[in-house]
Amino acid sequence: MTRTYQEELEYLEQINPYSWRIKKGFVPNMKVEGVFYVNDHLKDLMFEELRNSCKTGGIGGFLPGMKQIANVAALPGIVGKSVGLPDVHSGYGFAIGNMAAFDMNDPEAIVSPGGVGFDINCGVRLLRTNLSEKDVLPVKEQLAQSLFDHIPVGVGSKGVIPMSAHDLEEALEMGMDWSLREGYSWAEDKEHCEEYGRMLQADPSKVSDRAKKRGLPQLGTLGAGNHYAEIQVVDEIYDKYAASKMGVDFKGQVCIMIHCGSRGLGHQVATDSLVTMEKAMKRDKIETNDRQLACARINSPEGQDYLKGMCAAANYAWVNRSSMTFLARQAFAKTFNSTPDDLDMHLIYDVSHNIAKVEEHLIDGKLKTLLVHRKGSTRAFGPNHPLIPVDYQLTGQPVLIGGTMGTCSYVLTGTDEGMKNTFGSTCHGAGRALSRAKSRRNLDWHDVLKELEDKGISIRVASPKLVMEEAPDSYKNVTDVVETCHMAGISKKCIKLRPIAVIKG
Amino acid sequence: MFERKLIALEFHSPNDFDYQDDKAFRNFISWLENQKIRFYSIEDRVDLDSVDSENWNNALEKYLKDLEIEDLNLEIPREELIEKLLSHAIRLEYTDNIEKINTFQANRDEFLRQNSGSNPLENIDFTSPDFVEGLHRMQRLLNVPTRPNDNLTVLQAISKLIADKLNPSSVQMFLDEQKQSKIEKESIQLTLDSISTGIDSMDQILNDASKVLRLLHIKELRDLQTKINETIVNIQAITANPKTDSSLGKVGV
Repeated sequence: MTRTYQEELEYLEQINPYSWRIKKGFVPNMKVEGVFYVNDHLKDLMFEELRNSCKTGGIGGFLPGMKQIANVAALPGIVGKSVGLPDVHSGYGFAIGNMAAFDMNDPEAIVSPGGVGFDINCGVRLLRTNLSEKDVLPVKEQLAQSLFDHIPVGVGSKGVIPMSAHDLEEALEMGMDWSLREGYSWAEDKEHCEEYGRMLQADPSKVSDRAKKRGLPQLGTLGAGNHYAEIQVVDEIYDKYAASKMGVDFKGQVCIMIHCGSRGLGHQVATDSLVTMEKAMKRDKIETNDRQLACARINSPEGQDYLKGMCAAANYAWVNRSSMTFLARQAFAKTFNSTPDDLDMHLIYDVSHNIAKVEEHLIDGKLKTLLVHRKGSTRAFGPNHPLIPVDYQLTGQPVLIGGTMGTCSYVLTGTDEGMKNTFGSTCHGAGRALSRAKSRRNLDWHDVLKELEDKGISIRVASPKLVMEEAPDSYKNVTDVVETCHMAGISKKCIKLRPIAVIKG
Repeated sequence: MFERKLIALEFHSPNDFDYQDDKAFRNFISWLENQKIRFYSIEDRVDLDSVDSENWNNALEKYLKDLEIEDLNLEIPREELIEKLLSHAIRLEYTDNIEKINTFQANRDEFLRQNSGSNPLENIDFTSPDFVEGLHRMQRLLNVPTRPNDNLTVLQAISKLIADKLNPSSVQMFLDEQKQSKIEKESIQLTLDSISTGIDSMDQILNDASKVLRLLHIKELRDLQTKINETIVNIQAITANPKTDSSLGKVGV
C-alpha cells in the first residue's frame, strides 16, 4: 500500500503554530498518536522528507522522521504519545529526537535499544569559570592546544588515565562514584549531574567482554563524530535569576562544554542486544512496523539484561565525562597558573540525551511508572521536581543544548508545561539536515575550517578531512530548534553561549 | 542517649552520663530511687545505696522485682532497663505535679515578665518609643519587613538574620566570594509571585504560605546537601589518588 503525498497529509494536523499531530492510521497498528514540534523553517524540512519518500514509493533511502515517530507509536505498551522534538531526524529504528514512554505495569510493554541509540548516555556537561573573554583571548591558542594535549580525540584515541580491567568493572558499577573515590571528580560535580552520575541498576556482568575490551583504553577520550570540547563565552542571558543560580553572572563569562558518550563500549552493548532481542521477538511474537525497531518485553530476561548493561554503559559515559572534566580543569589551571578551585570551575550540569530511565509521570491525572526512552532528547524536569538538584528547585533543571561545531549552544530550563506534554523532555541539539555522506560530497573541508577561522574560533581537530560531516551547514539551525522548544513552552531559554575554541575528533 | 529524660528529671550531669560505666550506673540507680522514685522507705534503701558493695547486684535485682514493672529485670539490656526506670520516674513526677503542669500558662509575655531580672534583654519594654525607633532603624538597615504591633516578632526576625547572615564565618565567606569574582554581581531580588509551588490551592494566602514552606524546605535541603558534600570530601582525603600518564595518550585519526 503506497499513498500519495496528498493522501499522507490527511493524517497530519496542525495543533498550534509549534506542533503537529500524527493521527492513527498514518502507519498500521498505531496504539497512540504521534506529535512533533516544529516552527515554519523546520516544518519545511520535515515535510520535504515525507514528499521525497512518497516519490520513491518508500523504497530506498531513510524512512522520513514522521514515519519513524509513527512506527514507534505502534510499539506494544506505549502510553501518551510518541513525541518528535524539533531536532528530529532519521535514525536507527527510532528517529533521533524521538521520545516515547512505556508502561512498566503492562506485561506487553517493551524496551528497545533503538530508542536509546548506539552511543548510550551520550550527553553534554557544562563547566563555568570566573574568567572573562578578555582573560582568555590572549592565551586562546595555548589553551586550545593544552586541552587538545590533555584530552585525546579521534577514532582509536587512547586516554591518559591509567585503568586496569578491575578499575573498569568498578567504574561500570559505580559511575561517577568511582571518579569521586579516585579523586577525579569534586563532590559538587555529583550533586549537579543527572541521576547523581550513577545508574543503580547497572550490572557489569551484563556487558560483554568484547565491549569491555573496546572501552578500557578509551576512557577519558572524546572520540569522533559530533563529539567535542569547546571553550565558550556567554553571549546572552535571557533569565537572570536562573542563570545566577547556575553561577553565570555576566556576558563574556567563559564556560567549557564537553559533549561525548560511552565510546565503543556503549556501541558494543547496543549491538550485542540487537542480536538477542531478535530472538526474543520471535519467541514472544512481538510485531513491529520496522525491522530496526528490535525490542524485548521489559520484564523478559533479554529486556532486563539490556537495561542492566545499558545502565553500566551509562555509568561508563559519566566516568568518561568526569575524567575529561578533570583533564580540562588541569589544562586551565596550568595555562592560568592557578587552581581549578580558584578559577571556580564548577559543574553547572550534566545531561544525558541517549538513555532509557524508569520515571513516574501523570497520565490523565494518574501516577504511572514508565520506562522513558529518550533518544536525541534531553530530560527537562520542571521546578519542584524531587529528582533535580536543590540549587535548581525553583528554576527547573538546566538543559544543555550543544550546537554544532562553531555555532551557538544554549542552556534552557525545564518547565511544568514540558512535564505535562512531553514527559519532561526537550530537544538535544541541532539535528542533522544532511546525511554524513551527503555532507562529504557537498562541502569542502578547507572551506569549513576557513569559515571557523574567520569567526575567530580556534580549532584543533584529529581528522580535518572529516570536519565537513559536522559543519554547521550539515545541521538544522540550532537557534530554530531552541526557539521552537521555547515557544512551545516545553523548555525555557536561559543562556546563549558562543564558541571561541573547539577540540574535535 | 537519655539526655531529654535526664534533663526533665533534673539529673546533675545529663550530658555526660556514661551508663556503661558500672560506678556511674550504680550511683545513678541510687540517685533515682532516693530523689525520684522513692519506692522504699529510707532505711530499706541502704543495700541499693552501698554502691561499692559486692551484693549491690542482688539488691538491684530485688529492687527491680519489687517495683513490679512489666518485663523489668536484669535480663534485659542495660539501655532498656534505664529507659524503663526513667519513664517510670517521669510518670511519678508528672503525677505528683499534675496540677502545676497543667495550669502552667504558656503565655510568652507572662513568662518574660516573671523571669525578668535574670537577663537584661528581657526587661525591654517593646512599646517604648526608644525601642520602637531603634527597631525601625535596624529594620530599614537590614531590609526586614515590618509587622504592626508585633515588635517582638520583628526583633526575633532581625536577630535570626544577624545570626545567620552576619556571623563572622558568613561575612568571611562573602568577602572571599567578592574577591574571587572580578565582576561585581548584581543582586537579583526574587519575589514570591515569581515562584511556582506546583500546587494551586485556589487561595492566595495558602499559596503564599506554601511558597514560604517550599523556600524553607529548599534551605534545609541545601544544608543537608552541603553536609553530604563535606562528608564526601572527607572520605576523598583517604581514598583519592588521581593519576595521569601522558605516555598512554594517543590521538586518533
